[in-house]
This record gives sequence, C-alpha cells and structure tokens, in this order.
Amino acid sequence: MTRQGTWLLLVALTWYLAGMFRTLSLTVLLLSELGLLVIMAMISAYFRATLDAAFPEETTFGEKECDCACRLRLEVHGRLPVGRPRLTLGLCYRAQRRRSTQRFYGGAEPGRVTDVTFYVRPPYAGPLSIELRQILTWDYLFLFPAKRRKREQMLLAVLPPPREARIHARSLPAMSGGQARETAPVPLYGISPEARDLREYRPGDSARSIHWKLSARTDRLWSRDYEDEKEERFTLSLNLSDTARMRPEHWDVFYEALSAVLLGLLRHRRAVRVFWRDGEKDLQWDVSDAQSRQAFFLRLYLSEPPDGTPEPRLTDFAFDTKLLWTRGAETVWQFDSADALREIAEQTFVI
Amino acid sequence: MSRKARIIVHTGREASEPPAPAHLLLLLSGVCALLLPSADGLAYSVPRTILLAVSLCVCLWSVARIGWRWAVLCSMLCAALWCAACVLLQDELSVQLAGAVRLLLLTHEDGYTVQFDLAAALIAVFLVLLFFSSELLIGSHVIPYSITLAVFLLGPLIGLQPSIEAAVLALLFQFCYWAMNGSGMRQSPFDFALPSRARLTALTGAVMSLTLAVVLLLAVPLALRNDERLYQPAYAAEGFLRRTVSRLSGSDATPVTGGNLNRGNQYPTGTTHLILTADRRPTAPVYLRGFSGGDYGYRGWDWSIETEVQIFRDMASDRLTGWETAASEAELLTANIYKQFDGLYWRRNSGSGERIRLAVQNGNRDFLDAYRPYYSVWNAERLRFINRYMDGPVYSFYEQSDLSIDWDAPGAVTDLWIETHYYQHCLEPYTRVPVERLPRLAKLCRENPLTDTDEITAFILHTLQSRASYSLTPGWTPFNRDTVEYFLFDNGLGYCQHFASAATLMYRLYGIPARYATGYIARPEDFLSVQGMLDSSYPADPMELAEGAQFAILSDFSAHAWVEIFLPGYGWTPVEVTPAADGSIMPNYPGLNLDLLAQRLAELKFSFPASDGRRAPGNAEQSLFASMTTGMSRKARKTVLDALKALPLFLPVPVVLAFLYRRRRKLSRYARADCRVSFGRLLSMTRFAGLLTDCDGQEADFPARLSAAVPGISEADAARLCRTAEAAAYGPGGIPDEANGFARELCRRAAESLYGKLNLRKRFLFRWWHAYA
Repeated sequence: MTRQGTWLLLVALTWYLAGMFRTLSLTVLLLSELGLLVIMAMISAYFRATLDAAFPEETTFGEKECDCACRLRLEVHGRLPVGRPRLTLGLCYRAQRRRSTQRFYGGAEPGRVTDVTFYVRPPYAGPLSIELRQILTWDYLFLFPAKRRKREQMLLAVLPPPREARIHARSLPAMSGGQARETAPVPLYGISPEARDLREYRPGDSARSIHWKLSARTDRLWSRDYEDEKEERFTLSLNLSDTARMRPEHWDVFYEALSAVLLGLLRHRRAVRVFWRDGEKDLQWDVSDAQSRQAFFLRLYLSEPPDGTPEPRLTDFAFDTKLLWTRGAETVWQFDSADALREIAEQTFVI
Repeated sequence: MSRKARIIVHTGREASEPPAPAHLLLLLSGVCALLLPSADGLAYSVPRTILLAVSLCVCLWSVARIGWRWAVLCSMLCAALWCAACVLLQDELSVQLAGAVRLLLLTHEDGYTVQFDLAAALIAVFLVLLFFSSELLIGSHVIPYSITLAVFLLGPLIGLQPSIEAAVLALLFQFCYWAMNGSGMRQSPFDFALPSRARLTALTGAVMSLTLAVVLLLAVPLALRNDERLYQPAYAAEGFLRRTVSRLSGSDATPVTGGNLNRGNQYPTGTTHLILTADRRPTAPVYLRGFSGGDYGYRGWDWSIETEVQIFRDMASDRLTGWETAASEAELLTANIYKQFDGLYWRRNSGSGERIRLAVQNGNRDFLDAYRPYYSVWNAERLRFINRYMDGPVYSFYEQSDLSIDWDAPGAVTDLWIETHYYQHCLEPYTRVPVERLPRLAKLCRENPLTDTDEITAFILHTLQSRASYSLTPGWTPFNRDTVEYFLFDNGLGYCQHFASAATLMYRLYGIPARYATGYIARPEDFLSVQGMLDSSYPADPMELAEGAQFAILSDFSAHAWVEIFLPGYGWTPVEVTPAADGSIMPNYPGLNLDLLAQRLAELKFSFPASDGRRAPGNAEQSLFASMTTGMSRKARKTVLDALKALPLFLPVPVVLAFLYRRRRKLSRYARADCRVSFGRLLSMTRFAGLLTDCDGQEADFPARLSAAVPGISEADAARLCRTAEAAAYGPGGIPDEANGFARELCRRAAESLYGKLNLRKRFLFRWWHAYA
C-alpha cells in the first residue's frame, strides 16, 4: 500500500502543480502517471496468471554442510517478460517445528523455460523438504503486487558425509573369496522362507538372478539372492521406534553414526543388508556402494515411523535411534549423542 | 550432537553483467532532460553542454563495459578533476552561480543575463557522475529519480517551464530505468543467477519503453487539447480546502480590502459581507471603495493614506507660501483642505439627477472598514427608511451619469483651487512605477506613445483583451516573477486584481494619475425590493422596512478591484477594466468618447464590445499552425511551437533506431539461415575484406584458399561446407539441421577472424551496416 500511496501522492502533487502553474509538461507527466497506473495494475494481474514455477525434480541429493544445487523452473505462458518475481521458499526438516523461509527474485522471458539454480547448505543430514509457497509478481514499476499461492514440493535428501568408522574384526573366520564371516545368518522372523531368498528387482541386479516364474505370476520383477551373495554380506536391523521426540539434530547424529557404521562394515563385507520397518511394512535394502548408500538413505528418509513395537530380528548387527550398536546380545558401542562425530573419527570399534 | 544451525540458501550469483546499450541511452535521456529546461537569462550553449555530458556518459559507460572496477576508478578520477576545476575556477564559478541564484530566485528582470557556460558545464559533469554512480555503480534509482522529479515539480515555482521533449526524456529515464533496475541488472544476493539476465533486462526495458510510448502518444494530444479541463479538478480540490479552512477559521467573513495582490487563485465562499439599503435602485454599478493603492511593490499596493497626507501637506504649504506660520496652523489647514476635498464633487454637482441615499451595513457588524461610494457625502442622521436594526454609515451620492460639475457657481473658487492643486501634487506620486520590476510593460508603453486619455484607455483595453482572459483560477505566479508581468505576458489569465493592477500601472506609465482601488461593486440587479427580500435570507423584519426601499446583500463574490484615474474636473473616477462574462470590457468615465474608443479598438483589430464573447483573431494567428492548434490554450500552442522547433534535434533518434532495427533483423535472419545462405554470406564477407575476390566458390581449390585466407577455418571444415552447400543446391533432399548449424557456426568463426583484419571504417561497416558480426 505504501508504494501505491506514494504513487497516488505523486500523481496528486503533479496534478496540483500542473494546474497551479498550467505547465503542459507536468500535465503530460500527470497523464502518463495515471496511464501507467492503470496499465501496471493490469500487467500485474497478467503476470499473476501467466507466470508459473515448479521444481523440475521431485528429489535431489546433497551432502550435509555442502552447497546442494537445487533447480527451479520458471515459465511464462504470456507474451511479456516478467522482470523480477519473488519466490518464497519454505525449508524444513521432517522433525523440525519451525520452517525456514527464504525469498529470492527470479525473472523469465516469454515463451522460454528458465531453469534457475539455488544452493542449499543444510546443517543436518536428513530429509529436507523444500516447498515453493508463494509467487509474488509485480508490474514493471513495482506498484501492484499479485500473490499466487503454490504448494510445490521437492525433497532434498541430505546425506551424511562419507565418514567411515574404523572397525576391527576380532574373530571373523575367513570366507570363500577372501571374505570373512563370524556367524551364520540367523533365520529372519516375519519373512517367509521363500521370500527370504527373494527380493524385488533393483536396478543393477543381474538378469541371471531374476525369478522369472514368480515375476510372471505376480506381475512384478523378483530377484533371487544366491547363497554366495548371502555369504558376502552383513545384516543390520534398524530400530526406528520411539522417534517422536527426535529433533533434526538428533536425527543428524543417528544418520551420521549409521552411515559411518555401514561404511565401516563394508570394509569387511561386500554388502550390508539393512532391515527396518516402515509403518506397517518391513523393508530391507542392500548397501554395497555409494549409489546404493544414497538410495538406501533416500528410502530411509521416506519411511514412516514404525507402528507399534517391531518384532525382533536375528541379524548380525542391530542399531537403534538411541545410538546403541549391538551384535546379538553384545553391545558393540553406545555412541554419545553429543560426541558421536569425535568417536567415529577417533575410536576403533571391535566386532 | 551438532549444535543448532541455520539452513543457508543462496543463489550463487557473483558477477554483475556489463551495462547494456539501453542503459547508456537511458542515462543520456536522464541527463539531457535536466539540461534542456534552461531559464531565460541563463546564457550558455545548450548543444555544447549536452555534447560534453554525452561524451562523458559514453566514456564512463564504455569503461564499465570493460570492467566495473575500471568504471569506479574512472568515476573517482572524474570526480577529483571536477573538484579541482571547482576550486581552481571558484571566482568565476561563484559569480555565475550568484547571478543564476539572483535570476532564478530573486528577480526576473528582462534583459538581465548571466554568463553560465562554466557553471553549466560543471553542473553537466556533476549530473553525469551522480547519475552514472547511482544507476550503474550503486544500482539505486532513487537519487536520480528524485532529482529529475524535483526539477520537474519544483521548476515551475521559479518559473522554469520544462518543454514536452524534456518531459518525454525524463519519463523515459525515470520509468524505463526503474523497470530495468527492478529486473535485477545489478548484483544482488537475492537474485537468481538467470542464464540471460542481460537479455531479460533489455527486454523489460523495451517493453516498458513501448508502453511509455503508447501512453505518451495518448497523453500528449490529450494534454494539448484538454489542459484546461484537466486543471479543473486541481482547482476544485484547492477551492474546497481553502473554503473549508476559511469557514472553519471564520476568515470568510473578513472584508476584502487592502492592496495585497493575490499570487494564486480566488475562491469566494459566498459569505455575506455587506448589506446595502438604498432609497431607490441605482441605474449603474455602485463602486464602494475601501482601499486606494499608492506605490506598487512586490506584494502589491501600499495604502495611499500617507501619500494623500503628503499631498494635502504640500497643498497647505502652497497656500501658506510667504506666510510666517506655526506648524500647528499648517496641520489645521491640511485637515481643513482634506475635509473640503471629501465632499467637493458632491457639493459642486449641478446636474438634474437626484441623489441616492445608501446605508452600508457590515455583514458581521464589527467591520471597522468603511466602504464609500464615489461622489458622496456622509449623512450624520439616520434615515427614516432605514430598519431600526440596521447599523452603519449612510451616504448620499450621485451617479456618474447625473454628475455635472459647475465650477462657475458662487463659492466654487476654493474648491477649484483645491482641485487644481491636488491634481498638480498627485501627479508625481500617482504616476510612479517601479520600471525595473516591469521591464516588458514599460517597453510596451514606450513603444506605443500616446497622450490622449481616451486613446490610452483604448490601448489599455486592447492590451488587456488581447493578452489576457478572465479567470478566478489563473494558477500561481512563480515566486521570482512580478504578478502583473506574469499575468500579462506569460500566463494570460487573471481576475479583477490583475486587470486593475495592470491597467493602473499602464495609466501611470502614460502619465495619468491612477490608483488601484478595492472594495465592493453593487450592480443594479443586486438590489431587490421588499418583496424580493421576503424571498431571500435578509435578516431584518420586512414589516419595518420603508416602502420603495431597495436592498442588496453583497458577499465576497461582489468583492472587486478597479482602477481610479484622476480626471481634472471630476477627481478620482472609477474605470472598469475587468472583462464581463462575455469577454467585453465596458469602461465609463465622464468625458469618455465611446465612439472614439470603439473606433480605436476596431483599428486595433478587436471587436468592441464583443457580441459573442470571443475575440477576433489577429493577423499573426491566421496561419496553418493556428488552424492546427484551434482549441488549445495559449500555453499549449506555445509548447507545441517550441516542440516543433526542437524537432530537428530529435530526428537522429528514429534514424538510429531504424538502423539498429535493420541490423537486428539481418542478424536474426542469419541466425535461421540454411547452409546455402551461410555459404553466400561467407563469400560476401571475404570479398568485403578484400580476400578471394576472384573466387565464386566453385573452384576445386576453394577450400584450401579459404582456409589460407581465413585463419579460423580449417581446410576440412571449408571442404565440408562446400560439399554441404553443393548438396543443398543440387542434391535431391533437404538439408539436415546439423549441417545448417555447422555452416552458421563456420560463418560466425570466419566473421570473428576477418573482423580483426579490417581497418576502423571497414570494421564499422562490417559490423553495423552489413551485420556480418
């Protein structure tokens, strides 16, 4: 209102002085100001209708405390360039109460898709939701703002940095293929014997491993785990219960410690199969390299808190949100939430 | 656990784009808009000053294209040089600036000129530096916008009337720069790093310019044709405010008297000021004088009482010449002469007409000012027909038509002596004019020497009719202008105060004693009978009113100003010089030969009195221009004339724009050209560069020769281009886009390579005329 008020005051002053001194140039100025006032109001409404913005990707990955590039697509359906629309972005972690709001100014030419990049430096690992909340367009003279509410969202999966826990395998027997293994895998509760060897197809699985008959029957692709693969991996069950009061900084430590443990375990096996419960569903994911680690964390970030108390699983290791790392009944390490990063950097964990 | 931290978001934008040519154009328009409106009397070369500003602008802009740091350094260097110039030339500069201040703020004397070359040059440099720094280095449009706005809005206060072309330039600068700056030309951490920010900025500026052009195309004719109508809302608003304030403060009941010349508009409220009761209805307007002006000054007219006292003292000293008398006797004699002069003409009237008795009651009953009719005496006793509630003086007076002074009657010797001596002594003080304040008016009278009173009156009427029109809302007089000069020679609009002042000064310049008088005018139609009063809001009880009495209620609408000239034999006589509603002026004073007046006015090509309220045009206006500008106000016509005179200065602009448009079209056509066109273009540009002039592109060794002549092209590329062009010309099918793109790219590389080999003239033609690069 201030700008319109100032403008109207200016028009009134111009009008008054033009009349009092009968100055033709001021009259021209006055008529131009009045004309522009009307045109700018129309242009503002026009921009509101013709400018659109959206995230071209639903999900993108970034690393904690690093600049993560996110893209935003601006598109003008009309025939006029939009000078400087203001885009309001809301950023928040899932467990965060307050949303961080940032405002940026864009611009778009007519008939062109303009992709702009902005950089987010997230302080914590975890799922960071970025929401385009509002597009505020102005006319060329910034007199008439026109708001348009948006609910476009994208997820920035902020991965913990690839810090690796130093793990010393105390009594791991040598395995075929040079790998070592300490104990035989224990049958998993909650998964049928047939399903224990089968899993849904993931990109990267060899065609040899696809269970064609079952896939044809169920109309989904299933992969078979071969015995030698089973021999070359650890299993880790995650307990994600009791997370209601966890804040982003707590989750950050959890993800940091989990990532370090996974990377540390991968030093000793080709893969780590992680089991956890997503709401009412049981999930498992094999982590073997950077790509699968990225995908694992994304799936983990998308998971809902487990309903009720999950059934106990018999896996090589277990890790919970209280940062307790166990192997069977034995505690490998209880991380200190305030000092976990130092522990990861300095401590050698014996399994 | 990590401590609580913020999510940092940024756009990664680091560098600012170099300024576009549009920025230079807008910068120039802003500076030129301020340098164009020069005041009369400031002697400096506008083209030279503008050339200096343009050169500096172009230099700074070019440096900014190279790099912003260089631009900052260059600006600082220029600022340092500017400061040094100011210090070194301070003596001359201070003289020029002091002269300009005197010219703009204190006076507006005709012929007073100030040499302003140095100051204008320094002001131009200062403006360029300020605008360049604000717009391009800091990225703020506020200061330049405010400066241009202030010059345009406040200029008229000191009589600067910016031309339409200056207004167009200022608008272009103000709004287009606003839009372009708004599109994020300058670096800002909150602006996304757009892939083509410069293009977007230019596009925004172009759209805004186009919008402004459309608005101006509509606004200029509308302003020229309807300027008076457009001003009316401003007057209505000001009138409403002033009437409201005066009613609330009670000043609306204050009598209109005094010699202050209003420099603004007049907004009467309709509040009752005087109630007149006459024993019969007058046949001509009755002038009730409350003030007579002596000397003319900046604020208007001084009260004449001191002049009058001096005149009577001089007359007393004439009478006492050779006598040895005390000062007290002289004072007594002065008072006696004054007393005798007061009713002199009433006493000496020998006409057959009956006197009129008139009671003048002030509306709020506490006025100390007396409003007295001409040729009157004060009646001490209350008259029978006066309502008992009424208060105020009662006068007996003769109407001018009933006046017939008999100087041969017995006892008239003393009165004649008084009349004659008064005339002798009033000649000097009442023909005094501050000529230095009124150079144009003095010149006008000097160039038209006249002696006969009727001829002088005719000339004054002609001048007023030809140069001015009546309006209660003539606008403001600039602070540094004389009100009468501005009214008569610039604005051409005014009301009774302005007409009367101008006429008074003109009478004085011709040597006729004249005074500016203010008071009220009661026209015959203002008087109503008892029955008429019953229907009005007259406050008295009609039952107590005498039969046949006439009443008039005068409000500030009846407040008036007129000229009174001293006619020997008739004394101070009112002369009406304010036009009536139909534009005609009907002066009347004893001895005025109306036939002669009409004849003189006819000779001066003016209708008198005008039958339709419109003036006949003069010969000078019988032109094509006059017919084109029919319906426009005088100021609008003058502005159009000025704009037409300045048109040649702006002719290069469309030429340059057309040139740039042609180049742009060529470039966009080449950007879509197929390989055959690109091949032809390549041949054409090599020939222009003086290479391969003997080739037509079909020679077997053409690729090798092309490669040798143009360093940026390999022989393989040249051979591929030839093959593609041949296939396009003689082949069966269409050309793939990839081949066309290759040809265009090769052409671009060749242009870049050839451009460096050309001399300056050929470079210009290569780039701007042929649009090869």
